[in-house]
Amino acid sequence: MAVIQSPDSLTVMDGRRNTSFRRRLAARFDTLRGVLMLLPTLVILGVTVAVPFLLMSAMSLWEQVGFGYGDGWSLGNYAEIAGEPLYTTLLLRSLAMAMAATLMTVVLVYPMAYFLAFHVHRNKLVWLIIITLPFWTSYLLRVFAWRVVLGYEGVINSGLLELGLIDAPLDFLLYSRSAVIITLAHAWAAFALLPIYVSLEKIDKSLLEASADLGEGPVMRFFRVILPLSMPGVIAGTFLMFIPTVGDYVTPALVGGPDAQMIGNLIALQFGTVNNWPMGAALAITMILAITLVGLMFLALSRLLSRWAR
Amino acid sequence: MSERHVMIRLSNISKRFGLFRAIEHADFDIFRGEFFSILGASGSGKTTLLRIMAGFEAASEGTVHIDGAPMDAVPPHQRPVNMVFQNYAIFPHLNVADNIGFGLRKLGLGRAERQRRIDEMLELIALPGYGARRSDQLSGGQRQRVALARALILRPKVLLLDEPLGALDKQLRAQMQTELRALQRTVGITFVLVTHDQEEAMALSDRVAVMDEGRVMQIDTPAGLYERPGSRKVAGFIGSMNFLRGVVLGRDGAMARVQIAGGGAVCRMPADRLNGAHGDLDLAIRPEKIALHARAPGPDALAGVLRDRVFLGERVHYTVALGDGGETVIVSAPNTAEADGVPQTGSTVWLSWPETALMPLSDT
Ligand SMILES: Nc1ncnc2c1ncn2[C@@H]1O[C@H](COP(=O)(O)OP(=O)(O)OP(=O)(O)O)[C@@H](O)[C@H]1O
Ligand SMILES: [Mg+2]
Repeated sequence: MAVIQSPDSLTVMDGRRNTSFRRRLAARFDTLRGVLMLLPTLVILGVTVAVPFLLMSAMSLWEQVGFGYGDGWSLGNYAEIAGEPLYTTLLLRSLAMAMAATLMTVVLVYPMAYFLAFHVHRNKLVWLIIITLPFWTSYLLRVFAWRVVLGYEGVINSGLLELGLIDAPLDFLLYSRSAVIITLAHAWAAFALLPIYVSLEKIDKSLLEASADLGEGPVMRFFRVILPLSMPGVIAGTFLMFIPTVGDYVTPALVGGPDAQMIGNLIALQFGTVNNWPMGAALAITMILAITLVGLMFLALSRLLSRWAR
Repeated sequence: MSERHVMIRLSNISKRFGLFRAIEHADFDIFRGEFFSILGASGSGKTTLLRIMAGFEAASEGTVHIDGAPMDAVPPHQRPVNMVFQNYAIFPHLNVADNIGFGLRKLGLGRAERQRRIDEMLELIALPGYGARRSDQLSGGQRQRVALARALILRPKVLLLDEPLGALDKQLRAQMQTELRALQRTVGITFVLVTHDQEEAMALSDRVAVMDEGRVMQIDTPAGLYERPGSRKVAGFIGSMNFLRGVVLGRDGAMARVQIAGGGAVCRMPADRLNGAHGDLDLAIRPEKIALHARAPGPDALAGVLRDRVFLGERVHYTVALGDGGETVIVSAPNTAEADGVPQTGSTVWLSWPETALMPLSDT
């Protein structure tokens, strides 16, 4: 028997081919749209991050000769960084001070975020604005404010003198490492606060009731439920604060004394007075690598801790 | 009835949120080993009542006793009850085994014993080998079972369940209902289930409390609620129901004579059900208790006009208007009742029912 394809079945087949084609087109279009939406970000990131980074990497392999650069590539700058104790000391000190400032901030800011997330029920936005109000002023102003607070004739010293608690102004307040750490902790606090707050806010309140129901009191509820669930925010806040503070040079320049200078000051010096850009670039790259290393170590440690805490 | 052990005693519990009265004078006992349901429409205060038992809400008035001990000053984590939450509240950072074993820490068991109990629970909820599964990789039904296991592993005196099957699709729901009932028989723990699904409450429970706008309307066995609803609200909430008006004419010994408004016919019903009521009366009757006749079966039958007939397969539903376009009554009959011909819509039909079918209602 001959099978005659009816025109109907033909159009059906045609239609099917058509829809699969359309589906593929739509999928392509989706990808395209995604790429298009990302494009401005990609361009900005490329121009402002990737390109300068590559330029810096390249420059760090040059060598300064007088007012010009020597021929060819060399690892001389890096060799000098490794060999000269001053550089290593400054780098380690910067990491340590940034760590101290970050630790201090996270510990101080966590209760604030906790309060905001769990105990404020109305006008959260108002509270958030009040808490982040200091960050609406310029960074420089905030640092200067601490000079006023910590200075030789500053708020603390004159207050203590006035109260008769001290006879002479305390001169270790300003121009010291602790001054830098305090100022950094305050100046960057919002960067740690916001991610922690968001991660706490996201925690489903019924999980706390469930853990109470299963027999845990307030303290264990915190350690077994709230803390692990807010860890992503703590880690994000730690990174957001630690990364920029390692390289900060404004704060040590303004409130740090000679023994509180950080790697950022040295890098600024290389690009400024010393006028050894390749060395500055090499120092900057070294700093980035050091931050990455510390960051990875921190991540591994927090993974390990959270697995162990089960 | 023999003396039963009271597991939960609610003594005159009221709860206000600001000026809003969420619970008014809840006052009842739940017995040991009982499957007790709290049934009510959305917003009727079921969750609030359960949370008062668990200790998450403090009652504005009244006291909760659990197994004889007053719970006024006992925080949730020290109450001998466990709860299955409406959204299950599975810990997202823990795997299935750690979720189930969460409450064991307090018991100070060794690692092996802990593992043994968790495995036992996984077996019980039919999820053996799922211990290492991440909790976000579970289906709705599996999450529900994990929540159940997490509460049961602590062997509480009472298990509180807040609409545990609400999020499941119909088929899974029916399956889980069977499992839940079987589980309750196995473990012998008192279950208090909150639900807005009357079929669920009827199918699972030993007793049901029907709530409406913060009040407990009636507490009875499923059959009791069905056969003897005390009020129009309860009657309307459980199964389908016809509501009629009637007048008590008088009594002949154990039987009372009641004239039905609309049809005019005089019916008989057991006098003791009336509780001494006289005059106008609200009455209710289940659609399946009414028989439909094409010819008058006797003087007591109620005449009406058949308005509509809906064939539902197993059963046939008729809509009958009583008297002159007065109240309508739904009749539900098995399809076998039509052996002697299908009645025509628009024709006159007669309704009759057993003397015990008519129920008086106390209030509106
Ligand atoms: N924390 C609260 N503050 C104010 N009102 C509340 C609070 N909790 C519940 N209510 C009110 O109390 C009433 C009863 O709430 P409840 O959650 O007990 O209802 P429900 O019977 O469980 O309803 P559903 O079936 O929708 O879960 C509702 O009208 C609700 O708006
Ligand atoms: Mg509820």
